[in-house]
Amino acid sequence: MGPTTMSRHNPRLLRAVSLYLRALHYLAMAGVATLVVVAAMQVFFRYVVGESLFWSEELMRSLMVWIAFLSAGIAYSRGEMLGMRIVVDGLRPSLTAKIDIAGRVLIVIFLLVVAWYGWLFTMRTSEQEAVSLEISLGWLHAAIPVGCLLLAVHVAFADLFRSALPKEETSHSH
Amino acid sequence: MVWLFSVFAFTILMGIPVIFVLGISALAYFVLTGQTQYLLVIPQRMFAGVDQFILLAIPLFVLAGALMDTGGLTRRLLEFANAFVGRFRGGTSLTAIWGSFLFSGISGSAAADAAAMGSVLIPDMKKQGYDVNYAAALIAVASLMDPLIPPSITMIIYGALSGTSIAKLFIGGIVPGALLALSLTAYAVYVAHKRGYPRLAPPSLAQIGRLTLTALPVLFLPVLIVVGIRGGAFTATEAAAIAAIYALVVAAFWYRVLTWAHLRHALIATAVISSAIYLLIAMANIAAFVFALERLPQNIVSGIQQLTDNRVLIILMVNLALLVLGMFLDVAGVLILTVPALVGIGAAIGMDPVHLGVMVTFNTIIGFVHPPLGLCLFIVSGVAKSPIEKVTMQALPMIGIALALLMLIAFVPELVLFLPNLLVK
Repeated sequence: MGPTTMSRHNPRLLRAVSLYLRALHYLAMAGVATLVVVAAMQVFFRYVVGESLFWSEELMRSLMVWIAFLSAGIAYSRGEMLGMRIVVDGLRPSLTAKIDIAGRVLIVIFLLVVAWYGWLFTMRTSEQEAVSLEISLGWLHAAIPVGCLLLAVHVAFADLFRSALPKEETSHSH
Repeated sequence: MVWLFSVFAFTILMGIPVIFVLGISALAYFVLTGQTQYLLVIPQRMFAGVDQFILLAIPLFVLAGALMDTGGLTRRLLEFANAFVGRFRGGTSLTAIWGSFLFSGISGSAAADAAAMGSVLIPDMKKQGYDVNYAAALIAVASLMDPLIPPSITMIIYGALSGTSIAKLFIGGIVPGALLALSLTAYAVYVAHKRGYPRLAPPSLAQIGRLTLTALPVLFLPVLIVVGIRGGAFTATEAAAIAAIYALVVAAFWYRVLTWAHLRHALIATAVISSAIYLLIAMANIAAFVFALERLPQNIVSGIQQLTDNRVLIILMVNLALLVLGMFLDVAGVLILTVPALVGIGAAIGMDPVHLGVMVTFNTIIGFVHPPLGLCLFIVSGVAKSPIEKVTMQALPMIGIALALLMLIAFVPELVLFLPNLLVK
C-alpha cells in the first residue's frame, strides 16, 4: 500500500484521479435525474394516461443498483460508511494507524473476492435475458463486480482519493 | 456460528465500517467452515437484496428532502414554528423540537434532520445563552421524530423486509412521533425554567400570517404523501416520486431558490446517501443468508418460547436485545439481521405486524442518539464543535424519555394502531 502512506501525491496522478471522480459524479447525477424522470413517467402513465409502462419498473431497479454500486467509492471517500471507532481512537495514534491499515487490507481482500465471484455470477447469467428490458442479465449483474472493484481501489488508496474529491461536493455532507 | 461472531466482534472492534464488517464476517464463515460452494451465492444475495422496487422509495425521498432543504427552506420552516412556540420560556428550544417535527414530514432520515436543524439552530441557541451541549443534545434526540413521521426510510426498509404495509407503518408512526415531540417539549420547558432560558417577543398576527403562507407548500408535502398512500392509491415508491417532483417544482418555481449548484448537490447527496444504504442492505443480506443456513431465526424463536411464554417478558427481551444490537450496528443492519426472527416472535405472541414494526423502528432509531455509534450525536457535536461525551451527558435524560415512550407504545398497541385502523382500509 505504498501510495497511501505518502503525504503528497504526484500532481498528474491527482489530476487523473479527480478527472475520474468528476466523471463518476456526473454519472451519479445523470443516473438519479433519469431515475426521477422515469419514476414521474410511470406515475403519469398509470394515473393520467391509464396505461402502465411495462419497462419502467425494471429499468428503475437496475439503474438504482448501478448508481448505488458506482457511487459506493464516493460514499466511502466522503466518510459516509461509519464504523465503531470508540475503541481504536482511544489507542496510541501510531497503533491506530496500523490497525486502520490492517482493516483496509481486510476490506480490499473481501471486495476483490466479491468482485471475482461477482464476475463469475455475471458470466453465468449473461445468457439469460432480463424480464422486460431486452438485454442480457449480465449487464445488470455486472454492477456488483464493477462496483466492488472500484470501491476496492478507493479503499486501497484512501488518502489519494480523499484529497482528489471535488471540494464543493465534500462541503455538503448529509 | 462461533466463527461468524468472533470475526464480527474482532472486525467491529478494529473500527472497520459496519458495511464491511457484515460482509467480511460472512465471507470468513464460508471459508473457515469449508463451505466455499456458497461463495457464488454472495453476489447473488447482494443483488437480490437491493434489486427491489420498494427500495426505490429511498433515493426518491432522500432527493425530496435534499431539494426541500435547499435555499433556506429549513429556515422558513423554523421561523414558522418559532412564530407559535418562541414566545414561551425556552422558546428557541421549543422551536428546535417543533421545527424538527415539521422537517420530519419532508425528510426520511434522522441524520438529515439533525444536520439541517443543528446547523441553523445551534449557533442561534448559543447566542441566546443556551448551554451548547444541551442545544446539540436536544436537536439530536428531536431528530428521532424523523424516522417515525412519514416519510421514513427506516420504515421502508422494515416494510420491505417483513412484507408489512408501508402505508400502515407510516401512519402508525405519527402518534408515537407526536408523543415524542410533546414529551420533549415538557422536558425543554422544565429545563428552560430551571436554567432561565429566554422567551422571544411574539410576532404580530400579520407576521404569523405571512410566515404561514411561506411555509404552506413545505407543510403540504407530508399531507400529500399520507393522503396519497392511504387506501393504496399510490405505492410508497410512487408517493416518493411525486414527493421528489413536488419538491423540485416548489423549490424552483414557487420559492425560486433552486440553482443548478443546489440541484447538483441534491442529486449527488441522493446518490451517495442511497449508495451507503443500498450497500449496507446488500452486505447484510449475505449475513442474513448465513443466519438462514444456520436456522438462527427459528432457533431464536423456539429458544424464547422454551424460556418463557410470558408476553410482557418476551416484549421486554426483544427490546433489550435490539437496543444492545443497536450499539454495534446501523439501523438497516439491525433490521436485516433481526426481522426474520422478529416476525416469527411477533406471530408467536400474536402481536399486530404494524404495532411490531413501529415498536421495532422506534427501538432501533434510539441507537442514533446513544453511544458508541450514535450517528446523530456525532453530527450535532460536529456542528456544535463540542466533544461528544459532553453532548451525550446532556442527552441522557432525553434518551430516558425516549425509552419510557418506547415502553409505552410497546404495551399500549392502540397508540400505534388507532390511526392506521381509522385511515387505511
